[in-house]
Amino acid sequence: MLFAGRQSRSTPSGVSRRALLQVGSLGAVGLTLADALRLQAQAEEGAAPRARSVILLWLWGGPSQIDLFDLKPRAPVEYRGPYAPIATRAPGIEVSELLPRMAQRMDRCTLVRSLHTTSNDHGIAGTIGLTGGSKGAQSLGGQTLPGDVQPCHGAIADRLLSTGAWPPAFVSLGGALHQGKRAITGEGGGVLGAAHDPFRLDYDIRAGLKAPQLELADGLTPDGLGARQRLLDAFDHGADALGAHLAMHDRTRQYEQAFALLTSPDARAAFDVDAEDDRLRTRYGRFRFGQCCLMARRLIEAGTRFVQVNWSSHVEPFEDTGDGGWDMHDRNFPQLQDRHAWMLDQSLSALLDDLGERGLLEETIVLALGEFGRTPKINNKAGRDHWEHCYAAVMAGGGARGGHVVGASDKLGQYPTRQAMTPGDLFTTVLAQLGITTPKLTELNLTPSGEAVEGLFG
Amino acid sequence: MKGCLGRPVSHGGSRRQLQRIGVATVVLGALVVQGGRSQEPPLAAQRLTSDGLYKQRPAWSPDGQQLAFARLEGQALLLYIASADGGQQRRLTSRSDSEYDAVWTPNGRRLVFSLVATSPNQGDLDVYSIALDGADLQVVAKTGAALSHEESPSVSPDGKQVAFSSTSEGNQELYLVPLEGGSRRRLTDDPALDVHPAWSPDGKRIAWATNRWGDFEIALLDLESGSITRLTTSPGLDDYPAWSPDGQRLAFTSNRDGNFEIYTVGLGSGEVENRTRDGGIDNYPCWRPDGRLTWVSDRDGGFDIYLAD
Repeated sequence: MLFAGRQSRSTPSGVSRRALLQVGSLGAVGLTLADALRLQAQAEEGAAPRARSVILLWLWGGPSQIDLFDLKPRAPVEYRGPYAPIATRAPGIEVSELLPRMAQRMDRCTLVRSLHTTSNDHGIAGTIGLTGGSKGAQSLGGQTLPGDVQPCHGAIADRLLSTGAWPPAFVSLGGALHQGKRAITGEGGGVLGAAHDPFRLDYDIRAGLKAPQLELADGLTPDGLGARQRLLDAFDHGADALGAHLAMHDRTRQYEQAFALLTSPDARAAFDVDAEDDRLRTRYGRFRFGQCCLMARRLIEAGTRFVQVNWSSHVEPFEDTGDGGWDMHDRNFPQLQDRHAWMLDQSLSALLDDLGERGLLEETIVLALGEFGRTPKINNKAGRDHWEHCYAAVMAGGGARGGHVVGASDKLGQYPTRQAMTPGDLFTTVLAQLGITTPKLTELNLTPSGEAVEGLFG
Repeated sequence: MKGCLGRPVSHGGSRRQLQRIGVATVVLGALVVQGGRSQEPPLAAQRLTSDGLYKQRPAWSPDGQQLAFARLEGQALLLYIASADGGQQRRLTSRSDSEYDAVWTPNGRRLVFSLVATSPNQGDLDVYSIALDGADLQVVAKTGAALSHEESPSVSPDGKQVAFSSTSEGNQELYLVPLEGGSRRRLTDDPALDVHPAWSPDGKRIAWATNRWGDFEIALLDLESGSITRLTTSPGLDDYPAWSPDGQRLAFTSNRDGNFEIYTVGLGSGEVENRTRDGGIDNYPCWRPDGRLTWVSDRDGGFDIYLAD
């Protein structure tokens, strides 16, 4: 690893002042002149992309770090929970016994165990996670925080990396994120405008592909569009009628884009998950998140630059009128072991394998995290509550170091003890890997939402 | 029930009885089973359902002619009753909130299950019983004040009591309550999680899963003596115990080999066998009255119910 300390925001010229200072003191940490020159060259290169695309697996509701990626087996029983750590393919790194497939792929992954954020409200923390800041975030109680909503990371990629109508540079799979009945802010273009909102698709395990932007059209209700084949048939046989409909009604950009995309042969080919080998579809998992991960791979293959896969629309579990989110205030353990953990394990490991087999993993950053973590101490409902002080993420591909842990938490998993970082820091680093650094953000009147972090990428 | 451990919650409880559980835990060891690997071929299985939607906790009627299970539909787990071959299925209720973990009363006339009673937020799970036609919903275990979770019911062989887990006193513990509802008796008292009770066919013992020794292991509680016996010792989690009809074996889910499989352990021999050995996820074992194992698996892609040949 070249950097000896945290890298600060870069200057407009792309050179990090702190990085340059580090060059001056490299001797103290044993780096050679060649290292120093390489460091300087890297800094001067600034925007040179080292990854092409990102798949963000957004684990809405906040997964339990202590049950998945940062176990504390020596903590008291009230903290450690019922799961044991298992060895992984990366020497010295252990993960939960609920993640046996990921354990076998940990040599390709970087674990982050020192994330922290500033809110334990899903809506606010969600906005922070997706935009790097809380401007315009809405709390559970309906309060809107001051400031204009900033663009989400995918929207920035869309603004800077889009090359035309097809493929869309930014696609969101799964439902729009909600807290209660209110959609959260920060999933779209924000101050960059709705033009950079994601193109949205969803997958229903029974109905197949869903295109939310089209569901308002006459004859294209959710029921009418439910089945993928019926959707495609509708476009085959009903395009003229739909076009007339569009001429008569409000033509939003998203609506037209959705129509144009879904009727183009390239798009239809990319969206046709049924074209995949049946065994591969099963490897990803025959459930919404699994099939959305497969769709993400297809989109990356088609050229999309940023795909966000939302685990669920709502934070709440099925047992609480949600759609299976990670907000496990109660029944944390049966939900984890009977559904969520193996679903994540299966889909994420299949995604890494599939990308790797197609030669896409080297240029695609895969990142999985939620808006915060969960309380290390088990509550009085056999659950874990919101915990913003310390949580975990897993990352692979796109130059991410394999078999590596960044940051650490204390013995109870309550607070970072080493290399604490915010989601803004994490995504600043990820965007920089795409070549989106301070100068490019400045052109958009944006600033980095954090400081680039050492050690995430090789 | 004579000999049952625990205390009526409203009376402060029998400390001595709870202490007996602790002592028994310390002196147990007579029946510690080391994880073993079966040399028998894995069970051939007949697929009873084919929709592939997520399912949990199948349970056979006492006559083996009907099968209850919960299926995830949209955003809710909903209870179904199927014919023995799985072909004919019907909803048990018309509720829209989740309902699951149904078990049959010994006379086969009612189901006892967990339901989400109200869902303003964070759910509130209670145990109810219901007639097979979906009528006559009755409270079995419910807390009125603080939010708590009563779930995982298991009916005693005489049909008079229900064992279940509850968080009503601040930690997930096991309790007994009359089938008709009423005062509950606490069975366990440990800071660990105590879940998924299963009443033995002779009515003398309850098997359950607990993490008091590390990760989830299967334990036995002798209702007469109050002694607790650790039944499994494995590097993985062991959960969802289910008694064979003759009471000689327990089936359970374990990931001790790195994948969720259905295992059995002989109560006399202590022999542990992996009965499924399949690449998919195998979970929620139960037994048909004729002794054939039944469970949920995604071995064919989606989640369906399988019956051992």
